[in-house]
Amino acid sequence: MQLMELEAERASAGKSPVDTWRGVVAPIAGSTAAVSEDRWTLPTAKAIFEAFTAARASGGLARGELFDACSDVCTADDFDAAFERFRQLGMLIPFVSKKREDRYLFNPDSAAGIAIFERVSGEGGIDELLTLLDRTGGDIRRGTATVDQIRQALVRARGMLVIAADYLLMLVETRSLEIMIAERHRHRNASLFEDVDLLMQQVQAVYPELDSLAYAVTLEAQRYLGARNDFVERLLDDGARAEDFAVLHHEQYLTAAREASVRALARPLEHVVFDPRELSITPASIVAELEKAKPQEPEVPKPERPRDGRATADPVAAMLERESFRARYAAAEAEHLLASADEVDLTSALAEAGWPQAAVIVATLLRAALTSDAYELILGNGLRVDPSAKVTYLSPVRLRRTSPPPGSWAPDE
Amino acid sequence: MSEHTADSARFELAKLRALGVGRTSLPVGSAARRAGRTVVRAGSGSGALEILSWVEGLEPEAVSEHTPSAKSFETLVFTACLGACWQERGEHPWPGVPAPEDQVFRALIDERGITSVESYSGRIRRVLTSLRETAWLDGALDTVRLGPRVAAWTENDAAVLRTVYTKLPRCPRGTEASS
Repeated sequence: MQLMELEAERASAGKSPVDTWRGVVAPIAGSTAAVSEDRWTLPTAKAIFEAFTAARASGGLARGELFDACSDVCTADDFDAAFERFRQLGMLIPFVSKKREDRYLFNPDSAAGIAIFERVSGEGGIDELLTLLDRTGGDIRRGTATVDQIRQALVRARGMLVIAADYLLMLVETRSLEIMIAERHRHRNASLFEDVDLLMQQVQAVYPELDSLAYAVTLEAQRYLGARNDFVERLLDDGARAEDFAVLHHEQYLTAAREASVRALARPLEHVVFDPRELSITPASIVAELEKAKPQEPEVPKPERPRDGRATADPVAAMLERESFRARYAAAEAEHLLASADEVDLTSALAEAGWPQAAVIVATLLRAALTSDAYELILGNGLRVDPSAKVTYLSPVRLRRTSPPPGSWAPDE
Repeated sequence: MSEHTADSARFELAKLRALGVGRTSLPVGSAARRAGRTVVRAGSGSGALEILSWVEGLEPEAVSEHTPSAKSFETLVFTACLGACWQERGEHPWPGVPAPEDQVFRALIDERGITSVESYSGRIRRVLTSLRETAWLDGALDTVRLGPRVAAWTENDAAVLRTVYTKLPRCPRGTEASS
């Protein structure tokens, strides 16, 4: 595929409503410009329609009132151009009374047109097929349709299924993942086959002479569903390879999270290694927990000297002193790196420090940030990967001073 | 050390980290030190296990938000396990001696409002399971045995714990064997 074709395909991946409407209008279009390129045309028509529904004005609405109703969707010039088109095409019908020459009524056929274009841009042609099936079923139940009308409906349904299946297979075989993602929401009708099957049962019961045609419709529905399976399969395969989370609609992820089994949800992570679960219990936390208890024995015997003779006089005091020293050391290290500044980017310094010194510095600064309110360590979400560097994986690290350094002068002192 | 051997040591180290507790098939000491870690060996012979610990001063429990601290009740149950298994104050707590699980249950009576084991037994059992999963305890159900993480405690840690040795929850005297 040539580069320009590829670009055009990518650009069309986010298929606009205008593209869809062109396809709808094509059978009756008098020129290739039959559908307006302006995205505000349909919203303007909708705003005018809603102005009529809100006013319930059997005497019509004036052009000025319609302009007011459209003030949020188009400019004055745009309105003038759209108004003229709507008037010439008969969407706006001039009120016949001579006293009210600038007043207009809304054409009911145009109201149907707005509904059709909105539905087609959202659901595509398959939704029209479902409507056809539904309407035909209703006609059979009520006994209002002739055998010829039902035959025509079945022929049209079969034809729409043929077209839809061919289109899907073309997408599967020739189009990019982006285009398939843009199209996927048009083929989500879970009940299509059930609807077809139900209608065909009605047809066979009431119009046995249409049995072979009903069978042909069923076959085409199966072919369409087969094409849809191929479509979904390629979408998922390509999406998984590209690690593209846009393949499924966000509602589908939500449904999976709520309804899928834990085993199914865990499958994508089968080859991911996790740290095992850890539980931090330290001598300090044990001492703290036991200090909460009521005194059990009033006389605590003096600690015995361990056999290797390395005990200190007061191990708890020694532990607290070690922790205090580490905190002081960490604060001093933070001050050294800040060097009188209020904030410093340490990413390059860490990259130069090499491994494991970079980890030692980060651990020390995390301790400084946790044991003192004076410092904040900001670890960025980015990741720099450089297999040849001294530190292979490195996230951006910034150290910030959040209160004045010890001994510094402040105006209120 | 050749590049191949160094890679293998790093792989062994990564495997040990992913498993939590295990046995390495290569010398991994220097690879561990380069990562700020140490490998602690718990036990000897064919039953020995290894566990990753931290170079002193780089322990993440002081600085990491990713390692959850044990809740008060979990720590309390562990202190009862420590009280049941650590019988020689002058010795390092690990390996200690195995004790029936029942001793831990009865040692917790009268602690922090636990007035009957029955009402707390489900909760205590869940904590014991959790302690086994995280290698603070070892061994089969019904028996409490201190796990390899206790082996990673330094002599300084042991010295701190000796100061609270008599405060560890224990069964009332004379009832240890009733289980």
